[in-house]
Formats: sequence, C-alpha cells, structure tokens
Amino acid sequence: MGGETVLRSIDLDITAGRVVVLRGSNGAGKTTLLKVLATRLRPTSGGGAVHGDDLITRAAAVRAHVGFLGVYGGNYPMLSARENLELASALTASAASDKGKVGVPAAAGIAAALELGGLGHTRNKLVRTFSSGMKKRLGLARLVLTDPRLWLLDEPYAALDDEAKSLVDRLVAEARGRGRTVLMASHESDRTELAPDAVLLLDAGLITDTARAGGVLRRSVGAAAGTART
Amino acid sequence: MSDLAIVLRVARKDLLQELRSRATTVATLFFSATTLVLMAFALGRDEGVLSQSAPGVLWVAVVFAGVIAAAQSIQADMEEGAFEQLLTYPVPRATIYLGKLLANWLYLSVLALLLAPTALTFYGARVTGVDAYLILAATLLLGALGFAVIATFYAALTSNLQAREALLPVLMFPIIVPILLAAVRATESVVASGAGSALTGVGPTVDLALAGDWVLLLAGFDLVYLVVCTALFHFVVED
Repeated sequence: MGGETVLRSIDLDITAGRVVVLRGSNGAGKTTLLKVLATRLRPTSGGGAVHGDDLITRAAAVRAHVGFLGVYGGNYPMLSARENLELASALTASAASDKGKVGVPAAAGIAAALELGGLGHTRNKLVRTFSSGMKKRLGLARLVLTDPRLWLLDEPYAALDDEAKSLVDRLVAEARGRGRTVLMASHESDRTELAPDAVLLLDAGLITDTARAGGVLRRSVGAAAGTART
Repeated sequence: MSDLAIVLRVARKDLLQELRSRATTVATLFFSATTLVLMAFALGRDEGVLSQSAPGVLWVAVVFAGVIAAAQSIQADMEEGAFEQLLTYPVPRATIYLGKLLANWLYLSVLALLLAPTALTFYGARVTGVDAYLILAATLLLGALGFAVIATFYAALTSNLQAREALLPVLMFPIIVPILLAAVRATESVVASGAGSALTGVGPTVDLALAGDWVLLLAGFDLVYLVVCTALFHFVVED
C-alpha cells in the first residue's frame, strides 16, 4: 500500500461459524485486514482463503462468500432504502443460487430485512435523508438480506444508538446461529451481549494478543508472509 | 442473474441517481451552452467560418460535457463507500464497467442529439435529406459511444487520485483523438454551410459516401476501444 507495510506476519485460521472481534488503535490495520478478506485489497505478499477459495486466484469466488459492511454503510444516497436492497439482492442473486439458498421472493425478503433493521417505515425514502445511524442500519439490513457465509463488519457500532447496537449484537448472534462466520473490527470493548468467540488485538499490523481463542483460531507470529484463512 | 441483467441493473442505478440529483444534467447543459456561445464569439462574425466550424464546435461541446458527466458518474458512486460496496459483490468487473458505460452512453447520446440541432442552427449550418439526417444520427450515437467508452474507463482510473478533476481530461484527451477526428469529419460531410467563407468564398461539400466511410471508421474505433477498456477495467478497480 504505497510503500507502507500495514499488515505483517499474520497467520490466522478462523473456524467457520464463530464470531471474532478485531481490536486495535487507529491505523493498526483492522480495516486493511477486512478489505483483504473482502478482496478489495490484494496483499503484496502472502495469501489466504475463504471457505477454500484463494483470495488472489479465486477472488470472484471469494466474493460469493463474503459480505462487507464499511464504516459509511456503502449505500447510494440518491436511491431509496428499498432500491438499495433491491440492487444488492440482484447483484448477489447469482451467487445465492449457486449456494443453493432457499428462494425467498425478493420483495418479501427486502421488506423483512428492512423491518428487521428498523427501517420499514422509511423504505421509500432516499438514503440521503437518513442519519448516519440509519445508513448503518441499512447496511446491516443488506447483510441480513444477502446472508453471506462470512460477515466482515468494519466498526459496525459507530454512529449507532444503544438500541441499534443491541440490534447488531442480535443480528450477529443470529448469523452465528445459522453457521455464519463474523469478523468485526470494533473499538467497543464492553459489549457483553455480543459474546465473541475470540478477540484479537492488532497493533501496527501484528496480532499481539488473543483472548478466548481456544478451539476457534490458530495464531502464530513470525512468518515472513501474511496469511489469513476462514 | 445473467451478465446482461447485471449490466442493465448497474445502468438503471446510475440513470436513476442522475434523474433524481440532476447534478450532471445542469452542469453539462450549462457548460455546453457556454461553449457554443464562447466559441461563436471567438470565431468572429464571418458566417462562412461559423457554419464551417459548427461540426467541430459541436463535438468539442460534447467532449467537454462528457468529461463532466463521466467524472460525476463515478463520484456519485464514491460517496459513502457505495462504489467499494459494489466491487465486493460477486459479479464480473466487466459488467460493472459495461453498466456504467451504458448509462454514460445513453446520457451523452441524449445530450449530443439535443446539442446537434442547437449548434447547427446557432452557427448557420444545415442538414438536408433523410440520408443525411440518418448518417448524422449514427455519427452522434457512435461518437457518444466511443467517448463514453474512454471517459468511463478513465473516470474509474482516476477516481482515487487527489487531482482527478485535472488528470481526467489530461489523460483521456490524447486517447480520444481518433474518435473526435472521425466524428467531426463524418459530421462535416453531412452538413452544408449556410454561406461560403469570406476568405475562400466556398463552403464545405456535402458528401454522404465520405460520411459513411467516416462512420464506419468511427464504429471500428469504438469496437477496438470497447474491447480493450472492458478487458482492462478489472485492473483499474483493483487496489
């Protein structure tokens, strides 16, 4: 990344169906790690795989497994909440059919996701009129709708009120219940409702500490190349 | 979902955004009108010079407006991480490019079809005969396509750069020269000037066969650029 090394010697293997929280100060590399797993950034060395698909050689297949929620929500301001979800549903439809998901009528699925995100009453409003928290809720509704195998959440609690933060916890717990894997970067350290399976501390691109990691992930530091697998 | 359906979805999304914001429409229409007026002042009062310049001025206005349209198209996506989100969906990168290209092409085509009669009338040039009108329409559509192909590609290429507004025209103008040349020559060949130049005493000659040749060349350029840009778009959006 422009000559600066952001992630170093990361050797990580996350068991499917677990919730893992990434912690670390600003610039520690949390977002970069999420973007590498979302195939938005290509590692300069090393590699990784998501559900067996290589991040570099099978990036398109990896994207079929992954759902990414960025800090800003990733919505189109000049589309309504419903139209944003219709677009997401349409663009993930081919991957969903490949995964053999049960076919839920798109309109019903979208309405249900919006209700779950607490946006049922604003479904036809343009996103530009939304608050930051509502935009984040819409991003969460998108994840619920597309239901990827790996949820990558970048600061999902940012700009949310207490009720919405509890909603994040609930959605993550439900995703885990369906066997989905969740990897989130967060500064929130007191979310007892979340009950992550593991917490990783990232410092200057290195995983320096783990907590509650037994049976969930394997971590070793020292390899020259960074690898990440889920 | 088929690749064609994805292309149409992306194009629909871009057009819907523009219909609602009208940000590009207002900017490009104002800019195009300003270009036509300023060029008229710059060229002087010689009616022959003005009418002979009409095709060139028309395409300069389309090109300048197109730069704004393509840049705005990508910038609207960059807001709030929407473009990044788009790139995480499991769809071929080429479908995203072709969807945005389709939207830009439709927009530029409408703009060119509106500007052409305005510019030709304003500069005292005229088109006569059904064949001439058809060739002019084909020129406008193919010229807009070629320009949209390159503008969409370069707008994506420069989208993450700080000086993107300055770099976009600098990078793409040299590349569009073949498209611009063919489009201007084809338009010249179907347009009759209202009067001869005060300098030469003669106006350009309408030559529909020559115009047809330029249109074919324009279509060839479009095809080459379309194939190359579609194939390379994948590398443009990878970080």
